[in-house]
Amino acid sequence: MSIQVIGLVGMIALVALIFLRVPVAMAMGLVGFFGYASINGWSNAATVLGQVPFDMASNYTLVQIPLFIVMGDLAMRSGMSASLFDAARAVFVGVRGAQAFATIGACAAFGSVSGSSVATAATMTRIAMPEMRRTGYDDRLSTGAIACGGSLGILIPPSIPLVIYAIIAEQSVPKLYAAAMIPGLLLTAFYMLSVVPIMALRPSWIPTEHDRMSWPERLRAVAKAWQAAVLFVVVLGGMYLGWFTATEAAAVGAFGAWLMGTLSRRLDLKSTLASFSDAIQTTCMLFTIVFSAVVLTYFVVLTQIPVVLVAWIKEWNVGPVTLMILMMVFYILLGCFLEAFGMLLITVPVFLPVVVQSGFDPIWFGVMLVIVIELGLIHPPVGMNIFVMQAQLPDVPVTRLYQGILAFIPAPMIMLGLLIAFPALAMWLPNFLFPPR
Amino acid sequence: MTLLAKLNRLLLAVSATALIIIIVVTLADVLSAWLRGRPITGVYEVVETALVYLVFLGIPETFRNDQNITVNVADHFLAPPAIALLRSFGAIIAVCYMALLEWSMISPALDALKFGDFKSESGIPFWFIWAPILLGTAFAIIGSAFVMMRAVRSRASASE
Repeated sequence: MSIQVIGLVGMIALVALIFLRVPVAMAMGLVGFFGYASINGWSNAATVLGQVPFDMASNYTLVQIPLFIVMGDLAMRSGMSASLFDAARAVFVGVRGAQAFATIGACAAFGSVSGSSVATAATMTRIAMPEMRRTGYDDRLSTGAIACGGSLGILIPPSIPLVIYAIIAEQSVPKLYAAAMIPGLLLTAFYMLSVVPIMALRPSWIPTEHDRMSWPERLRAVAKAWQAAVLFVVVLGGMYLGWFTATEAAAVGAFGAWLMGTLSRRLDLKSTLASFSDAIQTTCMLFTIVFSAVVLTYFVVLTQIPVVLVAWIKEWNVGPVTLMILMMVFYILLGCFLEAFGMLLITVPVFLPVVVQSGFDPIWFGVMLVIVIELGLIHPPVGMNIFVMQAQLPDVPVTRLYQGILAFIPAPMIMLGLLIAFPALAMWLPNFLFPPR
Repeated sequence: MTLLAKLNRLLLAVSATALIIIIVVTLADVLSAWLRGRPITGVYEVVETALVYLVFLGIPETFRNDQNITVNVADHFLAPPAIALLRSFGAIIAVCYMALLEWSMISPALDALKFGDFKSESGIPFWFIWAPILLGTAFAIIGSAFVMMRAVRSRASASE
């Protein structure tokens, strides 16, 4: 059996195991181990499997993951998410659809201190949903705005998937964060614009706005969100001003979130410990997947599947843009079955060489990948944001949740199209901040 | 609370301490770079070591709580006994994988102990890094077995 055939059998086994409800990490690790053993022998496979956890768990760059997770959790527990929602509501109050705009805006703002879409969606469900119900918004619009707005959490820096991509693709985290900034803001605007056609086509979903706030009240509400703004500016500003590295920025952010929460008396010892416990468990779940993905990568590299794929695509004679469109369609389909991190970790080792060979920048591709992963978080059947929301809103059937999302789906599609047509949307800022030598 | 849960909580407490060490040591390094114009020697290695403690001593609780990501597409078109069977299968595979991982890590860990390897700047011995890895993985196996037994029991009740 040729190594490519072994590789193909391995990939089929991987998909089968995942569908058979084997945890994604275990499926990747086992296929990686047995695949590697079938080509290079048991002893070498055991060496790889035995060494990877030691190498990965003591990788300095990966320290950012628990630090950004705990920063987001502490920010949520210290009430920053609620302040952000109030501030966003004060900005849009009086406009029809204000609560929907505010929810999306608050999601984007909370994404700038959280780094996780699921955490953003879960937090905003608790904060925005009762308010939207109180003011008479249809549940479909409310949940759609929260689920889609929540997905911005992984695009707007800091972003956990971008850190993981940076490690697998051997790219710079600050460059990736810079590249994601403009697309993140644009996508926020597109999600907000998605509310406009709903107003015309489903007017009953959006009540006529009755809430009013005076200008001083509005300014006070916006000013109350200062903590999140300070955190964002210090963490990202410090990184780009060269005050500290990405990992140090994450530590400063985690400490800053704890300090501000403690000083404002919103965080006590109990909630701090609960935050640490939750952050550790999320980190461990992610690291288990990362270890296994690295084992799988050893196998994938050995099978030369990426090399064969590059040669195969060259034979097709398709242009790079067509190739990228096909790749994105593939990712959207893959998002129907795989969750975000599995998608990222399984496909990047295979596709990245193809992407680079076709002349695309890996930094730009990282941003494309995160947007397409965002789509996977909200479309059926494995929309993690939907599952998280349904757990908190058991009275809203899944079908209604998906109905609400439909109107927002074109936004990330348009963003992907714009990024393919104008790569500078992602590449301008990193090139400006880190000029190529 | 069972003995396993208590032990896992204890490991989680050490893991949380490692997280605090990471934050404090990194901040001290940033301050040192500002105030003295040079970072503290060995900080990277202390942080890397603390990360190992954070991850591997936190993993047992993650496994005991069955928090590994699973794709449940099959749940939409399978009957409850079939789903229970798949749950048991997934749990058995998790136990086997973690056992395989533990077995494959014993040899490099023993080598580290035998040869007395250590980190170059801080002098942290490698066995000190391997210890939480082996301990945490062993507890993760027990946690996976706990989940497996729960899955098998629920399968039996689903079949009835």
